[in-house]
Amino acid sequence: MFGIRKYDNKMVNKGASIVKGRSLWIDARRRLFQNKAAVTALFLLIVISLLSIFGPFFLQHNFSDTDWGSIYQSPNLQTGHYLGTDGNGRDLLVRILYGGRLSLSIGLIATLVSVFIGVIYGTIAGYFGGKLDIFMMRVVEILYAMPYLIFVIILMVVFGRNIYFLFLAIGAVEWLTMARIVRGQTISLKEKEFIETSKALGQSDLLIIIKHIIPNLAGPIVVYITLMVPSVIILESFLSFLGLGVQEPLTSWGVLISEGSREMEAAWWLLIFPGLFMVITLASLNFIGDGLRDAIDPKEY
Amino acid sequence: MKKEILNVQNLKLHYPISRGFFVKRNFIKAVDGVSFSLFVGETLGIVGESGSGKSSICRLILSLIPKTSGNIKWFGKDFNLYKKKEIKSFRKKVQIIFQDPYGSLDPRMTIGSIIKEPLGIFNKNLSKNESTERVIALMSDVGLSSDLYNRYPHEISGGQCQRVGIARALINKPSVLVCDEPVSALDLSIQAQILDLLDVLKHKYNLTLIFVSHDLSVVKAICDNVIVLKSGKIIENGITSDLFKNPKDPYTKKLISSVPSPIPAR
Repeated sequence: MFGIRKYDNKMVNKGASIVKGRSLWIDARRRLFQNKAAVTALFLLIVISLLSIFGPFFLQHNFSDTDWGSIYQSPNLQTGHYLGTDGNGRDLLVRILYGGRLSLSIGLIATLVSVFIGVIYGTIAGYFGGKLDIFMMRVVEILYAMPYLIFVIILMVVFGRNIYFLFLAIGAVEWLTMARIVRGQTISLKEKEFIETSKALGQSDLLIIIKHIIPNLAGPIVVYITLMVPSVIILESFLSFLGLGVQEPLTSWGVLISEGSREMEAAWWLLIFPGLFMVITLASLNFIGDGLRDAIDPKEY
Repeated sequence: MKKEILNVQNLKLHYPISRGFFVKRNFIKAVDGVSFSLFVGETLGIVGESGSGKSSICRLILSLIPKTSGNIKWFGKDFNLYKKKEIKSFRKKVQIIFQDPYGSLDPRMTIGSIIKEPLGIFNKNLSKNESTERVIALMSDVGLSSDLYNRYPHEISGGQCQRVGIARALINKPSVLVCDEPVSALDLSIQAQILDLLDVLKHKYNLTLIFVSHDLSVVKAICDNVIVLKSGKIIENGITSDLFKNPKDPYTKKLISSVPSPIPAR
């Protein structure tokens, strides 16, 4: 009709060989492992986690044992206090590793819980919109307005002081921002034509959210997670400082750092070493987050 | 007598533009009392300037946006009476291609999985190999090499993206295809290829087409019947060749004379 029949059927291999399909997540994994910074960061994070879990079994000191002969001892290889001791003569390395168990698991669990709740809540509010959205977002605002310290104290009073309620309390605070971010992004995404096409194809709302909205939200979600983990770890140390979090002799990185900062003129190692562990962890998380964000976006490659 | 697939009566879509208790409500009448029919095997063109309500009609008849009032009868049954299950099978029979070739493809999905998506909705018991085979067969039908199976939308050209959109629309063998300005975002030679392709596929798959465009020369070339729209109302309709020969309405005349002629007048 228009005289141009450029598309050439000879070039097309007519289904003779079945192409192996790749999915976004397989591609993303391959891209992540090509990113040297992300792989190094992942390796460091795994090393720190393994050290925190298994390290204390191989050390001669216990995290609560006081060694009266060596109070404020600087790092010393002979006595087995490799990173020195604190004002009560407790070995710093063991305490850092024990603290790592707590800080890492709080960072991981509280973040995952709040991401899970926030993403589900935000996508539902943003996608369905209308009165549901207005209602859901007013609930978020009411919860925002509640002073969370009072909320945490009530939780502790009612259910007793328990480390799991600490996870719950932090998760309950952090998901609000996540829900807001996700809702905003969902609203801009759902106007895109590929969402409309998917509706015209007969795809159900739930599958549109799972297959199209959430993968396209991955960038902002991952970036926000890397910001959330440090803030969760710091929030925990603040709650512990108020006596609502972990209690002596147990410890966490946040607690160790805040104690160390008070004694840094007398014993520098009490601040430097816990700080070093925390900095390495957070920097690694940042690189992993950047790598993940790039890996999930096909346009980056 | 040809069989009627779609009958639209007095379709309206009004957007409120001012809201409040004391303010008088004003509306933008995007679609204002449109009635037309679509018959099996025909190609119906809808033309009009931007903002005349062409795309709104497409979305309304597919019930992607709620209508203000009017009746839409698909396959002889009022769409308001469709049950949830019937709507799902309706979605299988009536498909749409959008204007923006990149915007209508999910940037996070490969070409293969984009074309395969509708198969997953309606043919859940199809094995993985079978569905891949069908995707590749269809890709060759629309002129896409199977090498593109694992590419992402941003890695291929606009014309190829539009072919992907067509393949996705056709994989469940629909009977009606609504094309909402399918070529206006493409350059001229690619436009010709895509129009040729639509023509070939129309015969191969026995499609009934609704073709929306602002480009009269395109409509003249492929449509059997034409509707001319202006600010949400039908100004003129009829068989394409008649309408182009003797346009009755001054607006239609103006539209037709606005088509650039290959031989400029001296």
